[in-house]
Amino acid sequence: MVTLDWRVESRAGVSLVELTVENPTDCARRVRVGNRLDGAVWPPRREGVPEAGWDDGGFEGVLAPGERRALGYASPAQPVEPPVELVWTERAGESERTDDAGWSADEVAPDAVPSDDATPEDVVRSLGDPRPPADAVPRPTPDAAPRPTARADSASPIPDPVESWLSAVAERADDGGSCATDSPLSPEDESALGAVARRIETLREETTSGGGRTEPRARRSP
Amino acid sequence: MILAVAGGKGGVGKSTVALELGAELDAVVVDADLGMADLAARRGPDLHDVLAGRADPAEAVSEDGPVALLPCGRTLAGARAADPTKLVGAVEAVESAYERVVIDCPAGMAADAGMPLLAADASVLVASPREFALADALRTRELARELDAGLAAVALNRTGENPPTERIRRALGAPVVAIPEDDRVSRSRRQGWPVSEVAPDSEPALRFGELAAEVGRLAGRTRD
Repeated sequence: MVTLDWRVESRAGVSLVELTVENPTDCARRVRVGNRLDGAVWPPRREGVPEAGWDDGGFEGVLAPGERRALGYASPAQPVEPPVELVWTERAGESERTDDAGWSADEVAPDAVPSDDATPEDVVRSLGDPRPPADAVPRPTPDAAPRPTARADSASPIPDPVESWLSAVAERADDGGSCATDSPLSPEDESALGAVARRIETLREETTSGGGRTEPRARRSP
Repeated sequence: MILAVAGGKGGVGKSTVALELGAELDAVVVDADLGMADLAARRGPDLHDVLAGRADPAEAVSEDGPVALLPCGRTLAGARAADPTKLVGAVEAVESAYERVVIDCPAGMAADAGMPLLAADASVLVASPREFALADALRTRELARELDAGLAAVALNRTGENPPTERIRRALGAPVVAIPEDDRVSRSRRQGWPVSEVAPDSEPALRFGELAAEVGRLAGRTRD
């Protein structure tokens, strides 16, 4: 019958579990090893992707006749004994070879190119994560926030939201230049611009005529 | 049918070949160069959004231009947020909506170059005679084979007099189509148009047609 040996140690609040599974029988067996710790399973990873066979609850894979496998994982939990259990074992199907039924091909030859029944995860594991490193990505910081204000102070008296809306309209007008329509502006932008222009005009008239109202009052007061 | 346009090197004309094949095969071109997108983006969601789970693959396809395109974003943050393992599912979703997909692969041999080959049924290798390094082409072909994207044809791009067609055919074991250097290709490409629309009788346009026919032949064989 399949046997399971384990060892668990705790470091900085994380339990490290080492185990060996052995299949002494003369036929391939599929095994499921379950986590008994009170925490998430942190599986071994390659290129950021969990090794084949690992899931939230533990590990599942096929052991060849007479095979002995070393496995390990970590968990942010207090160690308990035993940390793992053999949930079940069953005779592996005829079609299940040990290298395509849980054990990834690259576990046998880590740098080998993935086989044609590879999964996307296999491809990342063997060819490498193509994403740029997190440190390379510029991220908005609180320090960067005052910049628009500084620019507004030095150059433009137009408030930021108005400025950005106007730039967006200008950009849309540029893009729309190749369209079949006569005007580079969409009807919505046209009417919005018109409305803003009228509003500004009214506001200026009101303030100038308002100024006219205050002046006479000032003159009347003495 | 999903076709990957691959080639180890950058700058050999993968995006141009992908765009032309997209036009010839009436397919959606997916710009899968997650780090350095090459095909002009249009308005709306892009492949970064799709791979980050923010947009539906079929809805991110833009049909505004002469060739239907699923463009890719150009920001580092977008590339960081995009999960490369989602590419296969995304491309398959586009295939089920549009039937034919041509993937413009990134250069190199990392997982972002491997993933389109994993998704694809067949591949076209692009090589330039001037920068032709047989070792690179052979490595990409091996990767395509391992990931089950059989080599349909080799596009020997921007050739001059007497292209080494026969030598490359022997080395790579696939039909080789030589596409002559022609200003009209790059000019139309800059405008986002395939040369087959702008100058349908030009030599390159005829060659791209030939390349598409080779792809069609392989697709027919695999279906049988």
